[in-house]
Amino acid sequence: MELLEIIQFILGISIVASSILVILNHNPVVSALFLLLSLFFTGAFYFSLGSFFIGVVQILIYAGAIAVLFVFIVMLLDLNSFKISLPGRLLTHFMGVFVGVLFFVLVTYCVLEIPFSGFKESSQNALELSLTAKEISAHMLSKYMLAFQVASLLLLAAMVGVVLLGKPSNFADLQEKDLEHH
Amino acid sequence: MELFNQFQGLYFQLFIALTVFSIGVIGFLIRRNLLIMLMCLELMLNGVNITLVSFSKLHQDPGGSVLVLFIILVAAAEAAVGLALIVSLFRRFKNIQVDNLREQKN
Repeated sequence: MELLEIIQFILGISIVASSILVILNHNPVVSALFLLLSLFFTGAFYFSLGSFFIGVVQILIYAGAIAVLFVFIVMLLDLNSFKISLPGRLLTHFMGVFVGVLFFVLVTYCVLEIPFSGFKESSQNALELSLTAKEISAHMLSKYMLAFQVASLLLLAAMVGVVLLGKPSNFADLQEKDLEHH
Repeated sequence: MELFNQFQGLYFQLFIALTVFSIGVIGFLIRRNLLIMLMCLELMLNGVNITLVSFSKLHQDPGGSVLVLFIILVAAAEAAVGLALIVSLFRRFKNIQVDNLREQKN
């Protein structure tokens, strides 16, 4: 085995382990921190695949912005005040794990049934054949230009929506005042 | 078996991606905390991203990488809107457990 493959193996196991810890932890703060770790390892995994630009974007946006947003919100809310245990939770747990494992087994079976033929080369020499930022941006700004612009509209809509949702009390007050005027 | 050796790296990457996605599915189904359910959505998107990067790498096609960038963008928008919804739910009900929310709905 090459060194790169060993590194890739360790990174993959780390991604899976930290993902499992995300859903097994009872403290949401620890969960969010493990999510951050998982996303960070995924970025490193992209580096080991040779997709450096995507790895950088993953670490900057996912681990640097989204996961930190999660940590921030978890710390903002006071979540320790309620812990419930309803009857029937065990059945829910069992069914959830059953459905997840069933999905895993079925997809594994389907993937192993696919005849992977017609590929030019395997990803052995990963580092030599890297997709650079130049290639990716050339594609994004020519072939996928429309999607790029629609994405900017999506971000604008999300921003407006978040600002609106961020002040529910003020918004409700305004509506009430409007109703009183009419 | 020869086929497996030929695409060993690819199979490992697909295995990691599928495992992360399945963990996301399981977590979404068994956890009752809205924040952790949203985190599991992020995990599922992350698993899909790993698959796309692997195949983009295998085919030397930048299209997959572009799609990963768009998925990251949509995930960012989704996380922002979802967290804003959770914060406003928490302000109103002082609670973000979905079981309790179902009781408090009416």
